[in-house]
Amino acid sequence: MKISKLLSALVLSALVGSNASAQDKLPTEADYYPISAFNVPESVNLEAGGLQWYQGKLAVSTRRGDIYLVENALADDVKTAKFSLFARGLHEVLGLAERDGWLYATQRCEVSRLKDENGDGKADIVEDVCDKWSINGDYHEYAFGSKFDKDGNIWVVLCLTGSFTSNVSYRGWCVRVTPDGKMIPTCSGVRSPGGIGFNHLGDVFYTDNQGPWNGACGLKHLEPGKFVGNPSGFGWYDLPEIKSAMGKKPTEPVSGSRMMVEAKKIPELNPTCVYFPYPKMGKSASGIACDVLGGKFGPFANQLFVGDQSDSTVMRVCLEKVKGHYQGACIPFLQGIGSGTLSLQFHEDGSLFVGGTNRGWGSRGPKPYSLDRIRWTGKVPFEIHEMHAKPDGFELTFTHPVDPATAADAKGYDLQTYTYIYQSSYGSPEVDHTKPTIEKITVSDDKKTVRLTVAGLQEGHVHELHCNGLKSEAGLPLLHKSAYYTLNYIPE
Amino acid sequence: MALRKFTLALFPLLSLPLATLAADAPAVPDHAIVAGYEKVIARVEQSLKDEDEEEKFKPDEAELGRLLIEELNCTSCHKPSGPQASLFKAKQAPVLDKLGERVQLGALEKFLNGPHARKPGTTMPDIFNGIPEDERKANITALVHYLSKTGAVQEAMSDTAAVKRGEQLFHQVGCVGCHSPVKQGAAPIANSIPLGNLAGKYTLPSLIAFLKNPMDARPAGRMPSLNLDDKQARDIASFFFKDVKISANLNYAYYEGDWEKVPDFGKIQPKTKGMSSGFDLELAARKNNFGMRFTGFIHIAKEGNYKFHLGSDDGSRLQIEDREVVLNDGVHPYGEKQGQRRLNKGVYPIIVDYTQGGGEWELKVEIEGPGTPRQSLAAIATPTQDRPAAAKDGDAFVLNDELAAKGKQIFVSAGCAACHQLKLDGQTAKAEKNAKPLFDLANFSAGCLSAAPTANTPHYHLSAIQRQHIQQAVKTLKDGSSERSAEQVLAHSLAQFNCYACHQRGKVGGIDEARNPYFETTMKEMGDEGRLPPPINGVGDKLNENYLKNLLNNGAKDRGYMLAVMPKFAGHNVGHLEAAFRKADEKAEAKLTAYTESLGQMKAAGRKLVGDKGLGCVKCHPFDKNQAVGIQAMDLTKMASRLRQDWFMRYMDNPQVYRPGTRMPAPWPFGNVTIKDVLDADANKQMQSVWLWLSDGPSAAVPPGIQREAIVLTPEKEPIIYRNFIEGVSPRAIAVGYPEKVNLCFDAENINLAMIWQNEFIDAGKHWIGRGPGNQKPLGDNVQSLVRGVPFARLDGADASWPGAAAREQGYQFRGYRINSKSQPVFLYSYGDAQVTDEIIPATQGKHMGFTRTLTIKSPAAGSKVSYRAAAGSKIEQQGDAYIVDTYLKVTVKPSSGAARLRNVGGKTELIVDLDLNNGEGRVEQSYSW
Repeated sequence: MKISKLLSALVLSALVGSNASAQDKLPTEADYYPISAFNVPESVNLEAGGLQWYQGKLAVSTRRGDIYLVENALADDVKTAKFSLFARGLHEVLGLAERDGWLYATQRCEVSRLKDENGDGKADIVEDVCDKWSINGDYHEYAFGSKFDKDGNIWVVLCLTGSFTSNVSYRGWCVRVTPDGKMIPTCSGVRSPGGIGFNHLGDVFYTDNQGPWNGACGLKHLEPGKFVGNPSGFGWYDLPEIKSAMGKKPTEPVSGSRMMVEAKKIPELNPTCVYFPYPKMGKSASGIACDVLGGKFGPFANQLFVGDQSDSTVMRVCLEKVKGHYQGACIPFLQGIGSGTLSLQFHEDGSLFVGGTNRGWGSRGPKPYSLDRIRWTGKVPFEIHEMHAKPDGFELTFTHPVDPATAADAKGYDLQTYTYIYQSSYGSPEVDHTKPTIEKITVSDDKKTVRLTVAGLQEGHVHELHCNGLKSEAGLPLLHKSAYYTLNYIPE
Repeated sequence: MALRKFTLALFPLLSLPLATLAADAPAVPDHAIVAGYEKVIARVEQSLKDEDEEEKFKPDEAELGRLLIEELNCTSCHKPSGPQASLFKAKQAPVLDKLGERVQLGALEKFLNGPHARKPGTTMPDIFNGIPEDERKANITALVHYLSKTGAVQEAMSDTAAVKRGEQLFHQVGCVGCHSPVKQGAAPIANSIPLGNLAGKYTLPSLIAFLKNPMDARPAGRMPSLNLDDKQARDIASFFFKDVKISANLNYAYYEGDWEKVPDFGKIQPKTKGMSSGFDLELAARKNNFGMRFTGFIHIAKEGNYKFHLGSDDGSRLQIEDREVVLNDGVHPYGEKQGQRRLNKGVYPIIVDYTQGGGEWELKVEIEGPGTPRQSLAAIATPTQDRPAAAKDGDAFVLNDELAAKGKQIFVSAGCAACHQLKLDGQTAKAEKNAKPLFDLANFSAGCLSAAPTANTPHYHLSAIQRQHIQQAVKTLKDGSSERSAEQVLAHSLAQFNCYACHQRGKVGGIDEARNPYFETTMKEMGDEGRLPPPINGVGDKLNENYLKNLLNNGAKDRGYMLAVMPKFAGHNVGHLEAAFRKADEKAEAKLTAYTESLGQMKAAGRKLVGDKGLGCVKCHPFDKNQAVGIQAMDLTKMASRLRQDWFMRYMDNPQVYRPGTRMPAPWPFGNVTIKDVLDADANKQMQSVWLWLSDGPSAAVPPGIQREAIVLTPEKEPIIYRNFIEGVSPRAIAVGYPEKVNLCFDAENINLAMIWQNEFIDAGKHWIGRGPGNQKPLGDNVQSLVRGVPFARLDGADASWPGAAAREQGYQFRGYRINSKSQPVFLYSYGDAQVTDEIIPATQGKHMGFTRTLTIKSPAAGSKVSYRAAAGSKIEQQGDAYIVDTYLKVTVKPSSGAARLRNVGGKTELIVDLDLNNGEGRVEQSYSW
C-alpha cells in the first residue's frame, strides 16, 4: 500500500510536472488546425475572390477576372496541386457556384455561367445569366455572389458606388437571381460587403464593413423585404420593380443614434447580428462558410467561419435566434492566412480552403495573394464552444470539461459592454461602455457548460468576455480566451 | 502646503438638475468665457454624472483660479508679490496701436458702453460700471476721440464666390473648435468663444488683415493664426460680411497693359467701367499687368491744410481738381508718399490712378487734416457731385482734439492702459491706476469679485464658480509653492490656449459632440482618425524636439487628409510646452538590437519592407508626390522628421497601445515576423531598418510598388479578353486584344462594337494595381470610335431616324459570348425575339490588318425586315466597293439580301443595310480597315 501511495504520488507529481511543462509550451492553433499553403505558380495571379468545387477540382476565381482549376487540391501534400486556366477576362469575380455542369460566376457586371463544351479544359461558352443591376464605373462597385439557395437562386450583394453613395440602381442592395435569370430586389441597406453565405438551415448572411452606418464590421442577416442598415440606396424604392417586391421605403434612420434604438422605430431594419469589434477582431470582415461536415472539421459543426481580410484570420460565429432575430458571438479561431482572407470553401473530406488577397487593402498575411488549406488534426482544442444569451446572463459551452475551481471564480472573467454610434459618417468608436457584474457562476455536472448570472446586461450592446483565469480539467488555458456577443435582444 | 483638492462643495451649481448642466449651458453666455476653463469645468460635471467613472476627474481648484486670474488679466492691476509672483503671467490684452485701422469707431463706442451686452461672454470688463449715465457717455466719447487717432478703417465689399468658399472654410478649417458655427440653422454651441458682431466691428479689409495675422493685434495667441493665405483670409472674412452692402462711392475704369510709369488713362480705352466701393482692386479681371482709374468727389467740411497719403504697389497718382497732389510712380513694393493741399469747405473732383505689373498689389489713399483723423479718402467721397440725400454734415465723425486729450487722460486713469498697449506718436500710455496687491486681497465680497461690483469697479460678469476659484487661488497660492510639475504646466497651458478644444490629454479635452460634425476629411475611409485632431497623450514621447518646437511656433499641416489645421500659437506663448511635454512624456525604452549589416544594407532592407511585397506600408502611406495605392495616410517622407525613433520602435510593436482604435495594423503582429527573408527575420532589426530608410525623408529611395508599373497585356498565341472599365465605353465593356495586333472593345450595355485600335492592346496596371479606380484608355494606335447605338432596328420608313433609346429599352439583351476554335469570342445578344451572333475577327484588309465582322440575326418571324447600321459619320464616301467614313475608316458591307445604301438623317450620313429575313435569317458581312 505504501508503495502504491508513493507511486500515485509520483504519478501525480509527474502529471503536475507535465502540466508545468505544458505551461512552458502551450499548444498553439497549429497543433489543431495547421495551415498548408499551396504553391501558386509564378505565372498565376491568384487573388482569390471565389472558391467552388467543380468537376472534382477546386475552381478559384480571381480579382483579375481569371478562373483557375486546381487539380489535386485534396492531396496530402498541397504542393503537388496543379493549376490550369479555365477562363480569363471576366470582371473581378467574387462568387462561384456550380449547377448542372455549369460554373456560375458572379462578376461586377453580371452573373454568368461557363462551361467547357469541347473538352479542352477551357470554358468556351460564357452566358450572361443576369445583368439587371447598374454599374457606374467605380472600383468600389463590387458584387459578391452566393451559392444556390434551396430555390436555386443566387443572392448577390452589391456594394455602394464609392464608399458613401448609390449613384445608379441597386447599388447598396441585395438581389436574388432566379434560375431563369430574373432578378428579385431582396434587401436594401448594404454598404460594402466582404462575403456572403448560408448557415446550416439555409438562411443567408453577409458581412458588411465598417463605414457609414456601420460602426464596426458585422455579420448581417438577409431576409427578403428587409433593410440591413445603410440607407444610402433608399432612392431606388421608387423603381416600380422594387416597389412591387419590397413595398414602401422604410423610415430613414436618424444619424447619431444607436442601431437598436432605430430598430425599434423601423420595423424593416434587421440589426447587425454579430459585430466584429474593431480592431480586436479585425478590420475587414470577408468570406463566410458554414461547417456542415458533422464533425469532420472538429467540434464546431453548424457554426459559421468568417474571414477577416486585414488580420488574415478566420473567426468563428455561433448564432442563435432570440425574439425572432439572429444574434450571437464571434470567437477567434485561426490566424496566419497567407494573404488577406477573402473567400472560404469547405470540402466534405473535412478541408477548409481559404483564398486571400491584399491588393488595395493591406493585410497581416504578407503575400499578395494566397490559397491555403486548413485541416483538423483530430485533436480537440480547449475552446469556448458557444456563447448563448440567457435572460439573466450567458451560458458558455466548452469543448472540454472545465476545471470547476477556476471556472467558478468570478475574478477569472472580464466582462464589459459597449455599442457603436449608428451614423452616416464613417465608422464609430466604441461608446456607452458599461461593466456588468458576474453575480453567480454555475458549472454543469458534465463540466462542459458554465452559466454566468450577470447583473447589468445591456440590450443592444456588444458583451466582450475574456475568460482569462479559466482552465480545462487538464489544466490548460483556453486556446482563445475571448468571445464577443452582440446582445441585440435579451431573451425572456 | 499641499494644494487642496477639488471638492463637490465648491461646485454649488453642480447640485442643479442635470438638464441645466454643461451640455445645456446657455448658448448665449451669461458670464465671461474662458474657453479652456469651461472645457475643464464641463469635464468635471460629466465626471460627476458618469456613474461608471470610478476615479472622478478632480482638477486643482486653485490652479483653475490662477488660470482665470491670468486670462482676466487681474494682475495688471493687482500685482502679485513674493516667490509666487512668477506663477502669474498676465494675458496680454489686444494691442491698440492701430485700433482705428481695425475697428469701426461706432462699434468701439457701443462696445465700451456695454461690453457684455455687445459681446456676451467677453473677458473685457465694463470699466464704467455703475457711474452716472451722462458721465459714462462723456467718458466714452472722449475715449473714442482719443482712440480715433490710431488710424482709420478701409472699406470694401465681399463677393458671392468668396462668401461661399469662406462659409465652407470657416466650418472646416478648425474655427468651430473654439467658436460656434455660423451656418444657417446651426445652433450656437455652449462655451464657445464669442465672436461678437464681426461685421459691425471690423470692415472687410480689417478683418482680412486680422485673420491673416491675429497675433499682430492680439499677441497673446488665444486667437492663434491658422496660417491662412490671402485668399483664405479674404474668403472667411467675406463670409462674415456677406450681408454688408456698401454703397458705391467711386467710379472706376479698368485697363489692361504693362506700364513702367502711371500713364494718362484718359487717353486709353478701358476694358470695363463701373462703380466701386472704395479703392477696390479686386474689381480687376486679372492679377498682373492692369491699371485702374478711380474718380469721384470729396466733400470738405472745414477749411485748412490737408495731408494726403498715397501708398501703393506698384505705381499710383492722386489728382485733385486735375492737379497732381501725390505721385508714387514706378514699379516698386508697397511704399507711401505724401502731398499737401489747402482746401476750402466744398466739393472737389478727384482722380486716383493705379498700375500693377506683377507680384503683390495694394493701394491705399488717405486724408488727414483739421477735424479729420487720418482715414481713407473714400470715406468722404461720392461718385457724383451731390451728397447722398441721407447723409448730413453732422454724420461725419469730426475729431475734437480737446476731447481726445480728455480721452487720453481717461485711458490712463480708468485702467485701460494697465491691460492694453497703446503707442501713439512714439509715446506709450502708462497706467496710473493702482489697486491692492493680489495677495493682500481679503474682502472678496467687495471689488471685482463681489457678486454685483459697485461703481468704478470693473465689472467682469463672472460666474459664481469663477469667483470662487479666483478666491481660492488668491487664498491658497499666497503661501504655496511656485514649483509646478510638467504635467501641471501642461494642464494649465492646454486650458489657457484651449488646446483642449481639439486635443484630449488624460481625462480632459477633445472635440465636443456638438462640434464633431465640423471636423471633416478628404479621406473618409480613415474614419475619425482622418478627421479629428489626435489625442496628445504621450506627444512628448512621440514627436522629436525640433518638430515639436516648430509645431508650437508655427503650426502644422502635415495631415493632408484632415481639413482642420494645427494653428500657430507662437513661441512666445507656447514655446515652454516643448520642454514640458518632453519632461512629462519622453521615454527611452525601446531596445535596439545590434546589427552587422552596413547602413546601406539596412536602408535597402527597410525600403523592401515598406514596399508592396514587404509589409505593404505603401498601400496606405504616400511617398512624397507618389500616391499610395489605397487611402492616403501620413506621408512616409515626413515620418522621421516628426517622430522619435524610440517611440517609433515601440509604436511598430503595437500601434493600438499608442493610438487606440487606429487603422494602422501591427506590422509585426504579436512580435511575429511575416517577411522572413529580410534581415534574418529579426523583428527588431527590421523595425530599425525601416526607421533608417525613413530617416532619409524625401531623398530616400522610392519604395517598390508605389509607382504604378504598367501591366501591358500582349496577346501572343491567343486573344486576350479584358472586361473592365474602359475610357469612352459603358462600365460593361469587353475589350479583346488579338495576336494580329488589332484590338476591339464591345459594349455589352449598349450592344455595339464601340472601338477598334491597332498595335498594343491595353495596360491593365491601372486596374490590377491597388484598388484600381478609373477608366483605362486603349494602349495602342489609331483608336477608331465606331458608330454607337444599337446595330439593328426596325425602321418605320427608309428615312426614319435611327432609334436613340437605351438598348435595353429597345428590347436588346446581352447574352454572353462563345469562344470559337481560335479562342476568339463571338458575341451573342438578342433583339426582341431575334437572336444575334456577332463574330468579329482579325483579317487582312488590303495591305493592313483589320477586322471582318459577320452578324447573323435569326428571328422566329420569317419574312420580316430589319435594318442594320454599318457606319455613320459626318461624311461617308463611296470608293468602288468600299465606303470611307470620315476620311479615315474604310468599310465594306455584304448583306445576305439587298444592298447597302447611304442616307443623310439628322445631319449625319449613315450606311444602312435593309435585310429581308428570308427563312427567318439574315446575314451581314462587314470589313473594317484603317
